[in-house]
Amino acid sequence: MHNEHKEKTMREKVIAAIKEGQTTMRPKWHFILERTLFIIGAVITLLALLYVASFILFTLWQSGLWFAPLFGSRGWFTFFRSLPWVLIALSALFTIILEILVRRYSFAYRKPLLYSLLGVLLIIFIGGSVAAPWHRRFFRAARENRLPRFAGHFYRSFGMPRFGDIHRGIIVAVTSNGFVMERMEGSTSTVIIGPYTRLSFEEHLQKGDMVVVFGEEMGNAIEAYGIKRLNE
Amino acid sequence: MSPSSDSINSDEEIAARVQRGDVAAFGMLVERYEEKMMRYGRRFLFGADDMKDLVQDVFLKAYVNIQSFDPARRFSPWIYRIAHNEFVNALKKKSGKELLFSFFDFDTLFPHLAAEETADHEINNKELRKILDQCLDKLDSKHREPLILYYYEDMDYKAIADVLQIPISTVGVRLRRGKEMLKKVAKQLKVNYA
Repeated sequence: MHNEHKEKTMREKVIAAIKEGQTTMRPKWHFILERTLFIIGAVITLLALLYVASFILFTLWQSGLWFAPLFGSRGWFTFFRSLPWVLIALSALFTIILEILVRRYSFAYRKPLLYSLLGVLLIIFIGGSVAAPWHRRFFRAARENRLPRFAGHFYRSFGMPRFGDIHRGIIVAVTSNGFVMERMEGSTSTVIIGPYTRLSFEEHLQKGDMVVVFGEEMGNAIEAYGIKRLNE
Repeated sequence: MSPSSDSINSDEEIAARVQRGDVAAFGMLVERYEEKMMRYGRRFLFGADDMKDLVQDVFLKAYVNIQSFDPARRFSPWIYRIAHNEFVNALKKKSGKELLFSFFDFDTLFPHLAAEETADHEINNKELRKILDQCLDKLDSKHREPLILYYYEDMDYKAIADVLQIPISTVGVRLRRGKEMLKKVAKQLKVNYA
């Protein structure tokens, strides 16, 4: 009688709950599957991040935007205005997702978040350098309409300068106050070099030089505030 | 299973037996950790009247997820992690708002220089425990929990980092800040602090 009223110990309660089937042990494969899915998710996110980040680096180089900060505050303004912010936001989103996926593992959470972010940046720069020739090949194929419709449009729209103040092309003729440049899409523009133009090289420009010109285009003429020769 | 063999086996060995289907062995783990979990819970969740139910839930969740435990690692931080999650959820329900255990906690973002405590601090630690007993409930949960794990559960920085899933250096920062807060509270309450 006395035993009937005695409160059960925690051990007894827990074991009774297990034996009565109130709770069941999850099988090992459940956790293996969970871990595998997390790893696959992390790898896919990392690859997507690498693709987008290396593509950003490629577009900066391809459009000539990379060199804009060489030309002072106006160059910096052009640089920030023309950055592919949508792609940058997308790569930030992938970074956050990747961090969430790996944060459950001790190698990630035991170290400050900053280290993880620096690691991701390092991977982006190494991956960006490795992937650059691929992007160049895709860009060339997109210009020759050899890529599927969406991919072709994607490469053409991001690979070309998006605002009217960055121009890339090859010098076809040198004039008394500048030069005539043939753009990548085939049109020509006259570039005017004035006293306010900053050049990032010592020697004179020659026919055949590939250049990036920074400045507003009015009509068919560009008043350059900065010029960078690419084949130095 | 005799009581003597209960004490011979390590937690990790017992957990491995449970993984192989020995339900009775799980009772040993419950016995070993019941008092610790109750103590941890009482200090983390002041005034919780359903502590026994909460701790029972911790054990049931540990049983459900026991196959995720790696017997090559320490069992203690693993079960404390389950308890931490359970208690944090209980706190959320109680306060009705999100706690400061966020993913982008500023403390976890940057590396910090935080030296581990040494034996020189033992006398101070004894004094500190007295203050902790009287003032712990005045601290926010973010700083209270590392203090509980360090001073009452005798965990090292690495184990605390595993329970809270935060950087090891952040453990040091929260302990230091927690102690500073504790000193201030003790001063306000006129509790003697050595």
